Amino acid sequence: MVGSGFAGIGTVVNLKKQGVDDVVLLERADSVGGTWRDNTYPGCACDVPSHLYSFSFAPNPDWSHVFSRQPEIRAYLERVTDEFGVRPHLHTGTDLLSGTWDDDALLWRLETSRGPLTADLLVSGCGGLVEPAYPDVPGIESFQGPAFHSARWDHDVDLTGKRVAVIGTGASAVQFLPEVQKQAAKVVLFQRTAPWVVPRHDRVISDAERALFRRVPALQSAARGGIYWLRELNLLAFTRGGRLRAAAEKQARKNLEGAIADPALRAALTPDYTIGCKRVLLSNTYYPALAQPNVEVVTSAVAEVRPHSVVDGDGVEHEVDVIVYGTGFRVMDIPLAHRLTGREQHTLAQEWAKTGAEAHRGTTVAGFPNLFLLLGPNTALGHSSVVFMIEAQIAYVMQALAALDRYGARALEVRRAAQDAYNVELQTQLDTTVWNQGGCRAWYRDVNGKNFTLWPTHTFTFRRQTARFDGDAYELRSAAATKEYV
Amino acid sequence: MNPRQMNKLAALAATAAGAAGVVVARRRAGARGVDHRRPVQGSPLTGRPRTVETEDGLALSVVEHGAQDSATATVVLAHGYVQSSALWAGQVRDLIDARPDLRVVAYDHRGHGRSPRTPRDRATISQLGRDLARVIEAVAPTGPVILVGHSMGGMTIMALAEEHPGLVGERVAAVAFVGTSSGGLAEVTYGLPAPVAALMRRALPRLNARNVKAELAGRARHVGALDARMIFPRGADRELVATALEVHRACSAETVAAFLDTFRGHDRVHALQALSHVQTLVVVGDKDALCPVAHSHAIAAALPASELVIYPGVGHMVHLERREEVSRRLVGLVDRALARELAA
Repeated sequence: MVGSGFAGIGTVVNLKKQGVDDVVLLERADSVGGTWRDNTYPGCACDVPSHLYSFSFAPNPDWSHVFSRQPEIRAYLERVTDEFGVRPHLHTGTDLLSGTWDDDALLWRLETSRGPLTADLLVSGCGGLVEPAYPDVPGIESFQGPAFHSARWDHDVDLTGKRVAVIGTGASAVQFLPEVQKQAAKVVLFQRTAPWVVPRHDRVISDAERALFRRVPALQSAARGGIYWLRELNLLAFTRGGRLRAAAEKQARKNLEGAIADPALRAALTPDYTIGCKRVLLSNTYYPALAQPNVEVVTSAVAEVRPHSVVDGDGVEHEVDVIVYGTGFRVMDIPLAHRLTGREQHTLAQEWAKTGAEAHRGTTVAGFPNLFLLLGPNTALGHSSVVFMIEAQIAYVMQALAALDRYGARALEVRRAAQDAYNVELQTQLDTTVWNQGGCRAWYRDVNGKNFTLWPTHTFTFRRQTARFDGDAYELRSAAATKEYV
Repeated sequence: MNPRQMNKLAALAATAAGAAGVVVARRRAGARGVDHRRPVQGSPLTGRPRTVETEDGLALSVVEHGAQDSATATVVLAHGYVQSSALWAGQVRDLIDARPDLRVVAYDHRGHGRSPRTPRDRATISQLGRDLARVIEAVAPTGPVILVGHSMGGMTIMALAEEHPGLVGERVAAVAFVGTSSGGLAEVTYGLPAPVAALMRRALPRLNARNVKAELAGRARHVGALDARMIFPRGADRELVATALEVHRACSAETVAAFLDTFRGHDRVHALQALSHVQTLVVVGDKDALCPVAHSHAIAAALPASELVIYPGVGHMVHLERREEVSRRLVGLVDRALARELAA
């Protein structure tokens, strides 16, 4: 098991529950938490309500807010790691350097920073948003002041009184910009595309509520269910549009107009594509922060970085002391993909360079036996909690394990024809959604416009599809001299 | 065989090999109109037809593909009961595409395909084993041989191993058993409730006798849904079913009747001993109603160095339903076996 975020921890818990105890959880960093360990920027919080964005098997009655802040989510994952006996399996500071599928012995041969390993099954809990992405402009290295990515926030840099360039207007930037604005002398925001920002209906969850959740767990699961179904209903705004989408746009416009009086700034912040095409952002503080006199919004992409300044698309030079990159991630371009070599002697990254990132049921890839990718291609969501998707995928992995046992087999590999059929249908479904039709360029789609990240429909459909192991899509093998019989 | 059937067979002979490939390649409109088939690469199949004489003087129809005299190895494909070499078309193409250095030979058992009819007393698996020995001697007098047998073709290889352990020991580098059995066929229930299966088993000889009589009178044997149910799972690709049934239809009622008895006596687990030194591959669909998956487990158990491959949801015609995958496994087997030959 590689990576100890929600996916890794959840998988180990479920494996143990099934009596599989020979599990190692490899973590390159020095603690668990994944995304919720790496992203420590000020204001970092989840934009899905915490009662939904948590494990179904580990409800937490003590969430302090509707939308929990990063430290609380990280603490939750630490707690689950202890309470469910994951800790003994955890090997921190252990980076998976390479993995090669041995097609004779039917196992993965791994090299880690702390020595070699063999694994019958390899599960990636790396997700797709791992490696920070930087803009492809000249001079980034030449900048003389502090510069860092929001996912690698440098807390040693005191922004008080500094001139700060914020590059990017994605989900992270919207959260940290209002915090930066309070401290900095000046903030220059470089906006390539204006995001749609709707109000975040956050609030503190009262002690009384928490006590009630603790005493009556059924109430909490009801709350979770309520959030879940509301969000599934909301999905229709993305997939069908209509009145629901119009209402969302209206809400976002009101949010903008209520906070920004200056018509020029208002125009600059008004998106030119349909709401939902890029991730819909939640904030009550973003627009008010932008209205402050110490914030300048530059509506062009960054063209160049110089030792003491950032040059915008119109050639205007902005002198700054610090650069913060809120430029997102190298989506699905995960280090692991470059390090795993499959049956056909090429890496997962090379495989995906041919086809675009693709998997069967977001989990298995032809040519890569006994490899499971949690939060693999087309499992991300624009409308709900990926923890739900992770748990559905974990169930699928468990079913696959059971099938191996049942057939007395050692290896399973998805058939290419089955994987292709799955993806053709998936892409057909995505074609009519706002993600593909909304007239924007988002990280959801690759350079060819293929949407390789999002699940196109309801999450319960994904759960239904992954509840059962679809053996028809697979080839099962047992190697010479390693056969076990049923 | 009546003239009409002869014509039909001739037509099939000309087109079936190609047709099977084309059918597999053809775009399939699934339930949701999804096309998941990849076009087949390469030129249409053109083989070099020849005959091989059996010990009792029958001229078996044999087609060689791929490399000729310079072949690094010869792959011989043996088909199943009531089928013909035409149903190996996909594998023939895939094998020579993957390894143009191979000679790939598909032949028709006596009574099947384009081979002549057999006297009833020679319609046995042992006889098929001796026929196979003749084929090997004729098409591959030298060089390593890889044997691939589906269903009755697999049993034929076991019979060869039983009666010609010397030939197997000297010449055979690898064997693939596809949807076959080493014995216990009398207990198979075809996926039906046991009493129904027993009833069917009792009725079959009489049904066959009636079909033979009808055939003599010039009426064709009925092949339909029941036959399809026996060899394909529900929901199988319709065009594959049609292709297989077309070949079934071309098989005479006489052959169907003649070979029926030989399966009961097939018990050749011990014969697998002669194969313990070669690379072996066992392939099966878990919905195989005629040679159930347990039979493949038994073969694999008797061959400790074998690779067992199971395709969930697939029936008896596993090499058709999982053409791409089975071919890849066969190529892998050939690669492994020849690498070992080279090392030795």
